[in-house]
Amino acid sequence: MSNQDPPAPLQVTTRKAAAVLAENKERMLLSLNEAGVGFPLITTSRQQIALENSEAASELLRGALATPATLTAPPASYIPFDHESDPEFITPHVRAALVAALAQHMPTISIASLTERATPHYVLYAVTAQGRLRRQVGQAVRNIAANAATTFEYCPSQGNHDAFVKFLHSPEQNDPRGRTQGYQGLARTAQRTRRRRPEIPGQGSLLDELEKADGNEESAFEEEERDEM
Amino acid sequence: MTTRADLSEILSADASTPTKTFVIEAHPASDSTLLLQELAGRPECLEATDDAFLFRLWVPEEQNCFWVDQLDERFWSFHTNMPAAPASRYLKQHVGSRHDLDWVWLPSDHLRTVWPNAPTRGVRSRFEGQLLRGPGSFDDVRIKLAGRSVEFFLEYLSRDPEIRSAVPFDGIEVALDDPNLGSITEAVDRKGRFAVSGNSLEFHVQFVETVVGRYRKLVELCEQKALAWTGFDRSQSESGGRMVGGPIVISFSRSIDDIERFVDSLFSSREPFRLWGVPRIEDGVAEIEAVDLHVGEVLRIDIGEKWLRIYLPKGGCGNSVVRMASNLQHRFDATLVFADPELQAALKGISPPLMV
Repeated sequence: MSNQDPPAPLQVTTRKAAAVLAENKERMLLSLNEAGVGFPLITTSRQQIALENSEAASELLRGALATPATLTAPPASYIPFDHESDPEFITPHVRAALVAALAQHMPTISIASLTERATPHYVLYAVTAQGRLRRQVGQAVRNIAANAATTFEYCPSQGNHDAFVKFLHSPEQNDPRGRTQGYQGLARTAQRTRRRRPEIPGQGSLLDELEKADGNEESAFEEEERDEM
Repeated sequence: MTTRADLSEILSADASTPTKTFVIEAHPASDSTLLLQELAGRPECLEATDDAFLFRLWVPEEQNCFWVDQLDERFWSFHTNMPAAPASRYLKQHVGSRHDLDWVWLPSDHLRTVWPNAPTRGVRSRFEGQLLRGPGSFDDVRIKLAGRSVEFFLEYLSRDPEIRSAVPFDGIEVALDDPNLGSITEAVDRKGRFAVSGNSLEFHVQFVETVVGRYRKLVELCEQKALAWTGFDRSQSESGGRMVGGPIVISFSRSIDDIERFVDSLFSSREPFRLWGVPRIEDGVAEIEAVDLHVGEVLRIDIGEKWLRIYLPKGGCGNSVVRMASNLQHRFDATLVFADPELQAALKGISPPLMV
């Protein structure tokens, strides 16, 4: 082929395949079987991508997934929850959206606005599902406010105004050290107790201690590096 | 009244009183002059000049001032002859308490290759591994070298794979000569703080612009990768939509030995990361619906043994991603890489080409 020849056209082919989370594999295989649909089935889990119904797959697909493809990391999760998810999956997103609003010094936020902030993929849903998401978020807010009553107050809809959250106190109102502790307190209200490696309280670098004996000289810029850590 | 050209006379840039320039990333909600007025506090502390983008910002307690250049609408330059400590303290107070201001967070390689072929006069490396430590790593590394071509020593150290991840560039001093522009000595640290002495403020301004231009490219590239959702036309379809973008992945050269400790430290709301979050850990992978308290934005993050994944939402600030990468270079892994080749090239400072 000379340099003047146009590139050969790419042959695009289309094959039908179904994809499903590995935990739903059996249910999906049963459904495909009962429907009499001979699609290959691609399953994905946190560890691997595998091919089921391989006899129905194209040669190309069979070649690519002859053995399951091992993943170095779980697949990215673009839609972490939807309107049918259990509250435990929705609450962390609602809590983070509330803390972000606190950090922005907002006095109140409506449940509708909070739902959009907690659900970046909100625009995908039909009106009914959006309404259900707002109710789910409202319920999550009530639970969060019950455990952090000095920070959040849930105000239900009344008359012609939508339900909203009132921020009673923000860590942003504290000095820098109090601000950090305020945010840490908010995390503790949501965190389960976990095992921690025992540490000696207040143990710093002993070499630093000896360095003080010589007088520690640092540049003006370096002096400013010390934060509230 | 003062013009931009007068700055060369006002800012001495001599060896005894070097001129300092602090570059701050600004996101004014409306008018940028309004933001400056808020910083000034009192109306008499902010003076306009004959240049619409240049202001004089007085710091009464220091009886001194900044010359604030807003020609670049996102990255403002605060020039001053004030000593570095009070100037830095003043700006730190404002940057720390506002969501519309942030430092620039220059990655290690942006400093290492700050100006091609310029003789190096000094190098500083600082690594503070206490926060995110793991067995086999260094907890605290501080190296300050002065003299000609000192970067070779750091390069030598970085040949050892055990040491490489703990010697990031924290600051650099270079000597620049140009037959047309003049001769200057420039120092710059990773928080975008510059000090200059020499005979050409114009050369200094060009140096700052070059460093900031390369940084801007990295920040904007992160923003181009952000996740965005668009619903289909509802007159055509009741539900559904399109997604563009994807997570930004950072790969580490070393393993996180204790992921619980790592995420507890990283999301403790403390400086310099200022990330809030409640991690959920399953099969050695942590998923966090985090909040970047610097800007008050939600930022989803996943962390595995040797990687970290950031879901920057559309409209999110790319500086949040670069701040995290730069601080991780100085606290966990100096040799981390972005999985995306385009982002990695920008992290290395390869793109865009430098003006030489």
